[in-house]
Amino acid sequence: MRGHRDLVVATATAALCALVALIAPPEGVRLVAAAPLCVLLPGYAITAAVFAPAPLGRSQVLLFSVGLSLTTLATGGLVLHLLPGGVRGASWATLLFGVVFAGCAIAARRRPKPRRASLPRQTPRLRPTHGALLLGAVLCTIAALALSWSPLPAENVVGYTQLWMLPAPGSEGAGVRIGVGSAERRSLAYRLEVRQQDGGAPVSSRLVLEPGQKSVRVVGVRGRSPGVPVRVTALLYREDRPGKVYRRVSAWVQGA
Amino acid sequence: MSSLTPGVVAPAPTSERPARAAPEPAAVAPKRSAPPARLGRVPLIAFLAGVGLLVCAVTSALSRATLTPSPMIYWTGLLIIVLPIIYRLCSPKPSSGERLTLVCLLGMALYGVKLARDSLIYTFPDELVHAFNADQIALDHQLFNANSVLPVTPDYPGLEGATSALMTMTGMSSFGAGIVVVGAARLVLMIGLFILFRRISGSPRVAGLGAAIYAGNSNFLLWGGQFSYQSLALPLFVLVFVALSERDAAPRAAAGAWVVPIVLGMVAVVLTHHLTSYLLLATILALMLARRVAGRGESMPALWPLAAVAAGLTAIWLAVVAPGTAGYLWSPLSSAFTSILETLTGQVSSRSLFGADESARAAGVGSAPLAARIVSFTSVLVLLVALPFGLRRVWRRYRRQPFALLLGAAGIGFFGALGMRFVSSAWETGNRATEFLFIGLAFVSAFVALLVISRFAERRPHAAPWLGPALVTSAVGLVLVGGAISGWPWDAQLPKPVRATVEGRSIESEPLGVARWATEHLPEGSFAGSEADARFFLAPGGLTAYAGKNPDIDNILKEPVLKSWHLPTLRRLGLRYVVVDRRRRSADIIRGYHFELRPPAGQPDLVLPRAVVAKFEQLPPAARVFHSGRVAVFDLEARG
Repeated sequence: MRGHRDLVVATATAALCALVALIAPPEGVRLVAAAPLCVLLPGYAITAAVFAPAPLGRSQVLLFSVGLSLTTLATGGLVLHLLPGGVRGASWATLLFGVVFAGCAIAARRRPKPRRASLPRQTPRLRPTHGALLLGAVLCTIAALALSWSPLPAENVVGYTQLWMLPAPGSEGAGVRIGVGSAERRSLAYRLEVRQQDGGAPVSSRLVLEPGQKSVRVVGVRGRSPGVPVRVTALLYREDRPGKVYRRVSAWVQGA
Repeated sequence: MSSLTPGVVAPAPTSERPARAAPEPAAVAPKRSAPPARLGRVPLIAFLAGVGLLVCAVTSALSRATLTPSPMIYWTGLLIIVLPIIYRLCSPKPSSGERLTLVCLLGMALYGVKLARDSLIYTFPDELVHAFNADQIALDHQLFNANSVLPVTPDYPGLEGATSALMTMTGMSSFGAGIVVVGAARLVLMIGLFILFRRISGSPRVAGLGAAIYAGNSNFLLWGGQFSYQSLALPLFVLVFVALSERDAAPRAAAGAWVVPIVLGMVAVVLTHHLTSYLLLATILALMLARRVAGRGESMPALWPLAAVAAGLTAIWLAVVAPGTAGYLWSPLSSAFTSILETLTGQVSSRSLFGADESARAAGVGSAPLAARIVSFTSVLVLLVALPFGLRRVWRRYRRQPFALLLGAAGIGFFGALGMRFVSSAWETGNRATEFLFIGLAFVSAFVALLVISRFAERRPHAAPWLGPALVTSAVGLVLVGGAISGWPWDAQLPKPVRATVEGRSIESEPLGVARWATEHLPEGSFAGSEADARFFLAPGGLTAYAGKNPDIDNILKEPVLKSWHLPTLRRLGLRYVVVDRRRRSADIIRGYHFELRPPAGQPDLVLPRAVVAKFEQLPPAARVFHSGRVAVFDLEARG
């Protein structure tokens, strides 16, 4: 690839991107590295290889760089599925780098003579006002996305409370796990009552939950006969509406 | 006025000369040396696009905050994005590079509008299905995992396989990776349309306007920007046709090279989306016919080998990998055909456009307002009026161009497909088809836009030179807004909250809450649920969930009593858990995900009778293991 600067840059960039995408700790850095490796470089290499004798115009190079990268991704998944190892990060990085390397190598062989670069040399002149306007566009876009991806206070949503109950796994005696989760719009106080089918006094407890808060507790269950299922019912009341069952769940538990 | 001999008319100054359409040179091979790059008006227009995007994002945010902003603010934001771009594209001054940049800016800015609706979670019905597929690939390191809601989708793993590259390398979620992949596909679509139209017409001005007008198709703003397989397949379809057109224009010695991108594109389309692969084959065959009509069959590289490759790939994939596709597609297509016949013969009444369908009524939503309907109808009328003039232009200048004939035919076909919207069972088929056929209509309409500008200048030489372009800009803006209105339910144009903050903490809507609970506490469970709930169970839940009418989970959940076949069906499918959602809109795949809202932000949910829940309480072995008010989860084998 000597003498073909664009191909050398593409191959080296692909190698660097593959490494960084796999090993860099911050996800954002990995994305910055992986994105060109996925959606630009493979297509560029294939385009360079296929059209080596008669290079395309810039707009066509851009189209087929991105487009053939997408075709590589769409098809590459099937290739990796069929190979040992499967669809994994390392295999993707290897495959995509391999496509870039092979494409650039073929392009270097097929091109009529060494070229300094097929990358655009001329960059638009950027006046200060143009720079300011472009910066403004970028800032508006960032602001728009940041705003859209931020959860917001919503006064008019109707909140709710979750109540659930499941047999407690791996407990020494029979028991249930009971969870209460608040998606209400204000802090609420509850009374939780747990009853067993075969009578006995219900177990009652009080809890207060803030919006978004959850509480999970384990309640032991005693049955009359070991191995005989016992029905357990949990009732949740709101303290501001003590006479009305707010939520109700049940579970069957093997008696201890 | 210059001082000349009386009777001699001085040539008007350049600025006052009637603007004439730029001469349309014959299609030529692209120049090797690029002209000096110039920014032109791109920085200013990019800034305005950013402002428009921010306006749309603010409106979406206010809607998610249940502050009921006026939709007019949102449409204003869209127009701030669109109008400056169209106006500039109408001008003869921009370079080809600037036009291409503006076209890409339009496509990506409108994609940004779609992204601004989402709040770090997918809420479009198909997105949840495909996100599940992508998550499963990243988890299991293999393709073709099962999908309980849309079983055919894993058989076309192009989109999810592509997304898995970013997911597995970076650890990103399917949401983030999907944004990148669909964004790249959107870029391919816009550049591809520009190059295709430029190749056929020989005019960057026609190309820019045509590609911009394409953004007026009803699916472009929201449906076409979602994380779904057609969002990748359509741009790849365009890529193949760009390559075909370039191959036709290339010298014979260089034509062979184009086979590589054509075949690569075909393979990718076949792996990505069933209907697009069939349309790809049909379009190649139509192109062969167009060549005969144009009398160019002998002078161009043969198409039949590529048609054979497309047919072979499609057939092999259908037979070997995705045999279930036939059954999946046969039902809606046969229903569409039957429904069309019944509507034409008067056996059934036509579908009411903009009327509230069953899902909308279940959600308590009425019809679109009159103003929205007027805008939408007018936009179609503008296109319909433009069509014959554009076709005449295309026929006069390009009837020896097979691609031009093909696009003209597609433009006519668009209105045929649009008519299917009046047929109940055929509207979705028509809706999908219009996304492809609009490519032809956009091309034809671009000529009309330039015709209007030049005729306006000729007949009103003393009028301000900006009036003609302003008129065209207004018309194209109307088409874009009208298309956006008709492409998505009116009440759902602005998002509603799926997540919210209360006293500094985050809470989630009830369907999302039950999906999260099930993921945490019943990760191995299989669930029967409503359409919306089941989709949240897929993604972000990562669970197996069945919904819909085949099998008829819908009936099991909505009936007030258990029928004899209900429990055997659930057992046969291995569905131990039943998610009973009393919200009627839980059956609505567009409206079923958000919080219940209080006035003035919304109306209280319409609910199913309590009996739909009580019928499961009466089963001795069953237990209600989860209750959140409107939603209850039953374990049908709780007793063991």
